[in-house]
Amino acid sequence: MTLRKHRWLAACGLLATASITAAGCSSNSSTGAPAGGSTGSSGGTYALTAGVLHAFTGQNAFFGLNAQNACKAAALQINAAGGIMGHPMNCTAFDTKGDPADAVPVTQRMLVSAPHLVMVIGPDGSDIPSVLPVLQQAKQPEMNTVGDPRYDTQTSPYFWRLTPSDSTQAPALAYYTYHRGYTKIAEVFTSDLSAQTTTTPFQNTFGKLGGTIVKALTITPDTSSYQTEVAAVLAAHPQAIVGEMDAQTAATFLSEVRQQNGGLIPVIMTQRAIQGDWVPAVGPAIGAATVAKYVTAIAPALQASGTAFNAFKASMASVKANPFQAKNPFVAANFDGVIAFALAMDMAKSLDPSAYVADIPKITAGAPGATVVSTYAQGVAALKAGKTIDYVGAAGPMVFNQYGTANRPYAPWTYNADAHSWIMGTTLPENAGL
Amino acid sequence: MSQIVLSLGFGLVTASILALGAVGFTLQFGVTNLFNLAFGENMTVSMFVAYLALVSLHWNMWAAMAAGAVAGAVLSLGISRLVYLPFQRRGTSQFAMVMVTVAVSFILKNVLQMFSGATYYSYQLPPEPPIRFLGMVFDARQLAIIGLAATSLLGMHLLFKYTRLGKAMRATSDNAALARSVGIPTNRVVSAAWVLSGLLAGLAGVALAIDLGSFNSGTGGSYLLLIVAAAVFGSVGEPYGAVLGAVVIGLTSEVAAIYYPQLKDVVAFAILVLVLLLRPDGLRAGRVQMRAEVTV
Amino acid sequence: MSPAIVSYVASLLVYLGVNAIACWGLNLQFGVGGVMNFAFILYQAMGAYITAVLTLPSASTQVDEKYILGWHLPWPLPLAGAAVGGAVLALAVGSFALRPRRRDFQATVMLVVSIIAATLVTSEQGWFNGNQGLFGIPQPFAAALSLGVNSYYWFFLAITVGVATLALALIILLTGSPWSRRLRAMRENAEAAESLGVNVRTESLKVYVTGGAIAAVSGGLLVEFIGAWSPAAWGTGETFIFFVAIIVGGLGNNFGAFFGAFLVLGVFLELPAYLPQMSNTNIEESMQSAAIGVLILAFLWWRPQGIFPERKRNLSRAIPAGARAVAVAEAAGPVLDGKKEHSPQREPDSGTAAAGTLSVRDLSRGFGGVQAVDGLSFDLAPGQVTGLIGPNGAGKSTALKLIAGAIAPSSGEVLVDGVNVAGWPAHKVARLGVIRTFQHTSEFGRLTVLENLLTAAPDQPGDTFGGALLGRRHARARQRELLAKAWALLADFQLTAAADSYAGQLSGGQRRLVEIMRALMAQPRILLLDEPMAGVNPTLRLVIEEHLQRLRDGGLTMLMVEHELGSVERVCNSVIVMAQGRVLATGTMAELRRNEEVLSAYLAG
Repeated sequence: MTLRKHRWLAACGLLATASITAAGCSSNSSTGAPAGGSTGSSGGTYALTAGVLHAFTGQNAFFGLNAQNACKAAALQINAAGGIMGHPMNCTAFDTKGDPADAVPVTQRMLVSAPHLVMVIGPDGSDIPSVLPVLQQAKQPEMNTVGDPRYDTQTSPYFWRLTPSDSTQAPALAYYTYHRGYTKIAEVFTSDLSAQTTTTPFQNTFGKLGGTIVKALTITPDTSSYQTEVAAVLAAHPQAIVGEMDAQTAATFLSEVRQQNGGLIPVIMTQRAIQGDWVPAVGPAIGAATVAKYVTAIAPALQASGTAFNAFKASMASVKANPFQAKNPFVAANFDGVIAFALAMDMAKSLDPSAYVADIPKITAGAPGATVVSTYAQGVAALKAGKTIDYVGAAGPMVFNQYGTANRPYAPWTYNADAHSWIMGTTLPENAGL
Repeated sequence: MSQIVLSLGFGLVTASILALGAVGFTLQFGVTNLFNLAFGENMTVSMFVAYLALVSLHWNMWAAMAAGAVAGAVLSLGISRLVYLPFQRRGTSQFAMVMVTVAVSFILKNVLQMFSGATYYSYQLPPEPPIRFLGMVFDARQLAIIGLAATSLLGMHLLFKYTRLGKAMRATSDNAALARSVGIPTNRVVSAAWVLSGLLAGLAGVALAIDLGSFNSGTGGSYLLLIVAAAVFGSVGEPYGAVLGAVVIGLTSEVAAIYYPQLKDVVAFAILVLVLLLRPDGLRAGRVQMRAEVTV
Repeated sequence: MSPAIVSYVASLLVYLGVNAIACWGLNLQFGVGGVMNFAFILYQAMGAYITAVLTLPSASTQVDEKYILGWHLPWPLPLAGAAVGGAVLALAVGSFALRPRRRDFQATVMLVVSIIAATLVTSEQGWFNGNQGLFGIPQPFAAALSLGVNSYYWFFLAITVGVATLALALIILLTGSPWSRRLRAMRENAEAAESLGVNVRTESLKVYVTGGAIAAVSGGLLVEFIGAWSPAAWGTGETFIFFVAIIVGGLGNNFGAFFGAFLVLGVFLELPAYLPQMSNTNIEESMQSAAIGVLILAFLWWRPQGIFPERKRNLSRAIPAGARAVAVAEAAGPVLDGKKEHSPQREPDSGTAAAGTLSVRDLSRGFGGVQAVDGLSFDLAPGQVTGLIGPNGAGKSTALKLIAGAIAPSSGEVLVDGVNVAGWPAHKVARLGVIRTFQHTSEFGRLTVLENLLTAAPDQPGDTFGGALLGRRHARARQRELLAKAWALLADFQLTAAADSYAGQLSGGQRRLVEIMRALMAQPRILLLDEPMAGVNPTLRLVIEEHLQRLRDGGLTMLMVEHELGSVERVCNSVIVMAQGRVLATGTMAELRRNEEVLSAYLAG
């Protein structure tokens, strides 16, 4: 008797799941077109969706917030120019929690529930490996800013990496450090970082350039004290500390360097430092002025001026984004990615991914004689005029290689305490250190 | 060698913070027999209260620390009265009580996070000149932390040894039923244990936040395991054992950092595992058992 | 239905299956065995890693990726490897984490282990590619079958259902066995279970290893489905989600665990996505997590047994009516008629052997500076009841615990039928027939009275892990025999009405009776009674006394610690007086009443 009751409840449970899914579907059917968003041929004006599939909660929540605002700003520009082939576009957030296991059902829910899904601004962290196969099976193109070098030679036509691979970051870091005049440095990375992909290339390049690593340390992230490690670093008398640390680790480590040394020494970090949570943690711990004086971050370069950048900045302000974000090259790259995808649809005259996906690299290829455009409106106009275009966006040229990665030059970034933002220095030469 | 001496000095700071926390944790456990996994959040709340006092109200560090400690005590007593005691009176089993404390820690942490957001906070204390001493390096604040821990622990020692409250606590810790039967007002003793434990959690929390440089709503919770490790190491319920555990774990984790900086916590925890292999109920298990047995 | 919906629904069902397997594993460990595995997620994660590296080809073929093994095994070998790996890991962890006596200490050690493991896996790049983790793990048969996307989803769902069914079959086999009864007894009161011959540490380890293997399979299945695994997939905190799931679903109930799995998926993962979205996702997440905390509290307060409580086993139904009637008829006489000779055979199995002998020689045990037992020596007269009295703190209970092996003596001998058992663990001493009852009632609260009794009986074919695997039929004959015996005891103690009640719901006196009956079921040759009259009303006291007298007349050797001197006088043949850890005097109560020394030490005070 009780068993039967249990079964009945199980049936209820399953029914509930089914009804949840049905709810997901009905939100589509109300717009009068099938889900999946891959059919763009039907008439009438309907809203398109850009799915922002990112971690919005947990440690990497800043990834999601960056991408969401970049998408919104781009959608603003697109919709102001009349939308994509007359259809307005919305950005909808889907939270992967940064967890590869949680990300799969979320991705599928996105595919089911997002009305007229035309592009995906995809995950940047540990969640991407499980999400990509699902998107590729669904033939859904996605853009990302993931650093993982394992994607350096991937061949899927649905994978578009807007920023360089980490495999080019370590050489750039070494190049900058050496050319800044620091030849004896201490290298400090947290142990959760892939030694193979960052530490080893860095050591190779730095050695080749003629620099000496007087102390190489891999430290446990987020422990309560690094006093011993700091003492070991200082005992080697480096000219600078080079490496990567998450926000909490950097706050503790650098404040202990300052304490033991009676002041900080120059610090050169990877792009991790310009992410939104770093300065809020490190700044108060060692003083924002100290961050400004001693810390440099090596991150992809941003154009930071010109029509494209100004349009980007204006859109970012309109969507009430954190001013931090308008200075972030990853946000700018995501913004450019959304515009480029939209222009590819216009070029292919189709919302169908299988039709427009081949046009994505053409939009930004910079072919000789192409008309350089800086905004979506300019791009649409030039395409209508039958011209070949070259979209150079807020983050500068974005040329995809055969593996779907847009390598870009790096630049040193320093913090400006008064403006509360990172300011880009002189761009490093392309392929610096490689 | 000098490197090791230096690390021992650093370890002393870590050990001091750990000891404050571990004694608070173990004292409350001894008296109430409740394994309180929400202790870390108690620390975090105190960190934030001290932050408000220090940064918003511009109190000095000592006053802010006192505010944090008082907040810790109030919270600790409040939760024990509102949540733990009612559950215990219902006869909730030991393991279910652990889940109750886990639930409380979930709630505290996330309510804190709702108000504090995902960002980090810092007391923004100015740098202090290093002080060299017997081959070790400290700054004034770290010496203050060590001093604070020493004073608090001495205070606890005197309390246990010479006051009626302290003796009543020890008696209750040994055998609550017996203590009640000889007229010790165990309810009051239990409350006192929660208050003291909260005070120590508060002090440990603020000291930790000072040492870390920055903290957020999850800091206390992630530090709790080291505290529990120190307490388990010295047999939970045994304040002197907890101090021993704190010193061993604090010193080894710093010394381990010379050789295995990427695994220093692992080394500290490995010691705990080793101790458990040799003495399943902690180093000073005999003493705890004695008190339980002799009173029978 | 659109293809996307099909794959969404199919994936959700696969996740449901994976979570169900995991919840069953945790339910076996925690719900049945009471082992608080706070490292649970580690086993799921390890299963995933092992499956991944057994499925992937050698790491030397990969760019920028390092891992061990890389054996490229065909399905289902990677899953089997995960099960083995999970079991081995559980064996290694359990061998030290299960050593502390308290469950909450064990839990903490496991939490520590889980965090250490996460740190190691993240920082040791060579094992499972560190923080980046593993990716591109091929799905089983995907290449060979070359099905369409949706057909493959259904195919994988079929695999999931198959694996889940196997897991469930194993779980049902185990949870329906006499072994699980012993586990549940251990969960309720480990010390009492130990005193009845259950090797708590070993049995805990077995259930820990089994649950670990099952959890690992769930992780393996998950990684085969999603094709990637990294430290981000398993936060230490996720363990608590599983705990919440089975607590809400119902501890000790396999359907409850399944329902819990549904909750994990439906409520924590999918449902929030359908709630109205807030502008600040972090606040939303905080509220969600805080709500989980409130949910735990609410359930532990209002419905600690969960939505689907543990099923009560009404064992009396398995006893044929004939057998019941016989037992009742036999019991009716002796209880009322004290003169009637009570045949030793009537007490379970106690007549088969000669009365046990017990000698204690120079037994000592100190704690710190205090000698609780200090050179204690005495002999028990076989087949007689010896009283052990003395003032508070004289060391009586400690002496009993030393004899029973609950604590180890620092020196001295305990000779049971000439064998020195000093320092033996309690369960081993119990198997010699030395059974101890407890000063505080120690019934297994959430076992029925009959189950309490059956737990104690030795030599049950299904009461080991291996025996449980052989199935219920294997254990049935002996079970029937034991049930009849238990029923006879119940009839004798006039407790048949409570046979199927949870022991924890009985009155204090009745629980005392259950404890004595349980001790008798254990076929004692020497019975150690620790204050059997404590907290018992005068009427029931007479009943207990009468039973003890009958056992005495049946020739059972007993040692009884008791403060109630009237009872001691009526039940015991002779009495030992202890003071300050040693024997002060021996004799009958009448003799002792004339002994000045005893009077001053104890009786007068």
